[in-house]
Amino acid sequence: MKLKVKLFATLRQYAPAEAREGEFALDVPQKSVTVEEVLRLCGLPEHAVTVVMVNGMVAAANAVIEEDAEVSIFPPLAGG
Amino acid sequence: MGGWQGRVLRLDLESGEAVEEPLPPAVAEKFLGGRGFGVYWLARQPVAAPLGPDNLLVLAAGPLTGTRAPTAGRVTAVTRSPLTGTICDSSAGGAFGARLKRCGYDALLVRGRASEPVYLVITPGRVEWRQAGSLWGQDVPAVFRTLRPLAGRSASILAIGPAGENGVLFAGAVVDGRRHLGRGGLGAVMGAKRLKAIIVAGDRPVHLADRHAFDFVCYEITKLLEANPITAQALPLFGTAVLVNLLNQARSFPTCNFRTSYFPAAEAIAGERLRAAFTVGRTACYACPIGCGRVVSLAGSRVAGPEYESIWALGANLGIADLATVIRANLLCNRYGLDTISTGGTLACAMELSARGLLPWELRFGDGDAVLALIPQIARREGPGAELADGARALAERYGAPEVAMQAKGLELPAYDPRGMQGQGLGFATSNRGGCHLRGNMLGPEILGAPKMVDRLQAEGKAGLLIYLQHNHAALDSLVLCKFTGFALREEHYARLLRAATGGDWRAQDLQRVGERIWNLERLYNLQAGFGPADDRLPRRLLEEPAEGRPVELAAMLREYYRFRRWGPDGRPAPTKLAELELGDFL
Amino acid sequence: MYREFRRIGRDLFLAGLITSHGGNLSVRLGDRLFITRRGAMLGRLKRGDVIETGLEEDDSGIALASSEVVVHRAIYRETAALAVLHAHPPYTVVLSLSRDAIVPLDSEASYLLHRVPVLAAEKTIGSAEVAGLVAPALRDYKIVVLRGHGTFATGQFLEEAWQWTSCLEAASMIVYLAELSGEKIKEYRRGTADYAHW
Repeated sequence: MKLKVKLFATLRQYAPAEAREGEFALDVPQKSVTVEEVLRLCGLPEHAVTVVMVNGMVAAANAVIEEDAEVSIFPPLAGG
Repeated sequence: MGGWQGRVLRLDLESGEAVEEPLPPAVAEKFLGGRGFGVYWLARQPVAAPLGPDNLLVLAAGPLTGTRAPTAGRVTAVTRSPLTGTICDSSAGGAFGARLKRCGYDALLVRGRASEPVYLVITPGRVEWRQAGSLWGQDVPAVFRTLRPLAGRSASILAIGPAGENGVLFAGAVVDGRRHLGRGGLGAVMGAKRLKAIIVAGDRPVHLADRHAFDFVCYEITKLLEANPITAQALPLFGTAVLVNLLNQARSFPTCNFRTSYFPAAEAIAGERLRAAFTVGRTACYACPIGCGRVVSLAGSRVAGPEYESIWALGANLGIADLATVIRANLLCNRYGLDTISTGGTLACAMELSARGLLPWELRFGDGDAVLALIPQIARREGPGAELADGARALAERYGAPEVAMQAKGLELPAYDPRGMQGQGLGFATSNRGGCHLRGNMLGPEILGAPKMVDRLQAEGKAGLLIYLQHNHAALDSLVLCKFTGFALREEHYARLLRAATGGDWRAQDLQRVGERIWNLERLYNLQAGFGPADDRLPRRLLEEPAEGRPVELAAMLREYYRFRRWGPDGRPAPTKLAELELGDFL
Repeated sequence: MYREFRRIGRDLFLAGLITSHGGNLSVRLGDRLFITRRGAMLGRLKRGDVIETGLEEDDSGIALASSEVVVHRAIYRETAALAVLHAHPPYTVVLSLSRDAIVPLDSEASYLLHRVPVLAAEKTIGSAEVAGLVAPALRDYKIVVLRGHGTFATGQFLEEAWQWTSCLEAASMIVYLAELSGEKIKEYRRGTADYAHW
């Protein structure tokens, strides 16, 4: 199945070359996949990620992702 | 006693008198400094008209200010806001607090109104009153160009621009040319006093009770700030603008006057884009290892870059997706001395009124050129700018649609849509200075997961966490340190700094207690000024329209909030609560 | 909030850090205290198992609240904690019988906890004596141990207090096993001598 992945801030360095603004399609061999597995498939270092949102909602590491979901991945951020 | 200088300076602009007074040790211990001092002195006198001579303007440092503790250069200003009518404090970076302290003072208390525009030069033991003359009317960059050479090296300058002189109700004051006492109209208060600028220049030492321990704690704390990914990477690399994409992805990014909470073009104004296309450097305040300030390149010159709130207020909330336009609008606000959040909030309100056919002139969402033309007019109160200069609430009431103003207690809301952050919504409604996120920022637990993630769409239990954060922030505003340090540090660390600096046995819960005392005293002040539970509210839109989140469950959260605080249904702290906080004198 | 109580209570039981009816949890919300019911099974908490009462004094439901409420109150009085967790982690209790402090050997607990003091009381359950010992100690430590009884941990969230508890028990097990092995330990960290001062 296919997922839409968006990387933000410092994580953009891990995006494939063809990605625009950190966004790319990810092909997953299985029918379902967890957040943790997506991070591994994207080659993201374990400690670089703090917030993962699936379709705008914060998701835990073991959350299962469905087909066509938009997965947004953030490093530690702050401000305001 | 280390930390505090033990003296405050009272200035009367009417009589031209300057009187030194000792700082009572009990006041220092009960209110710490900064915001706490300001609230203490304001609450000691009758509630005054914000723009009248009797309104007190307090500029205060804290017990750590002027030391080498990280971010210890800041100053807090407290006065009664002309925009909201509430008590209002505002904190700015730069070095004004540090220089004030090194003049030998913990606070300046300014009252009265000068017969002619003046500016003040304060050095240890001496106050010079100077005619502002041609400085009056000058914009912010011009004022700093003129004053900087006069001020000398160990000086800091606080000044207002034309917006403050002209009584724009959301005019701010500028510290050292680039940091802002932004919210609540402090600049208008200075303008009404005919006070253009204050220069503080001093090199007196700040005494520390245990220098050795203090240095060790500073060393340990700096290590924590340097190891924390937020204070060591995210903020230095991207500035606060890094939040644009995050809040947008969380569907909590108010767009076009909060009509929606997702901005499809966010990427065009995001921190990543600011960094790639514009950023050429960064700036840091006094003693700050973080350095969140941006320097950007625009049409060949190096200028100050916008931070998160400004990008949102002058971008997404106006439907503007062009970052160069946002940078220009931000620069104009800085130049005239306007609060960017309120400027954007008022313009967004005008845009929605126009879209509904209620405004007799046209202003479309997304019209960047019109925004750039209007900002100077607001500052000068010219043409349509005159209608905007009193803020969103006044504008929307004038055209018979008060619900269009996205404000709480008259203060325009900042860049978080509470329909995606229920606790933040309760924070906006209960804030003592009106719609503001810096009173008890739920961004950490609701979005960043710092220190732990809570369900942002849930209302239950949020009141307890918010109350804690409100006390925490009140204490930080009184120390006076930057809230960004709070991403890496806990109250235990601040308490350690205080122990070493003052010699007193400060603990984390003492800071909570000071924060709670300040919060309740601010509440008493606002009750005295005519506010009540009916004012702890949010615009109807946030309670009825879900946008991409859920309508704010404000009534339920407020009930919990009052109960957890031991406030009655009349919004008044229980007498036992006031006694417990040693606020009996202020009843 | 109840979901958090249920989640942490269940984890505590499944991790073997409490017995069927042991341990207790509380959170502070402003001036209100929410604490597990006396004799509740933390591994199977139901909504009615969390009792609301006053932070300073009993104004409701007190007969039902955990017998340790005195200690929880004292902790909230003396610290800035918003959550308190009391458990009986076996390895930690074992170590507490023979020493005055538990100094972790593993890097995670060294970093997070540095050093955890062991306190001794004559009446170990729900007494004013325990409150008077534990609460002041928690001004300087995230978690402390009562000899032969168990741990008291604080945090801004129950999850944090749970993190310290879980971390300490893992550290205690490592210390226990390392000592049992009888092998000589090579020090790999720096500045452990200063842990007592920070």
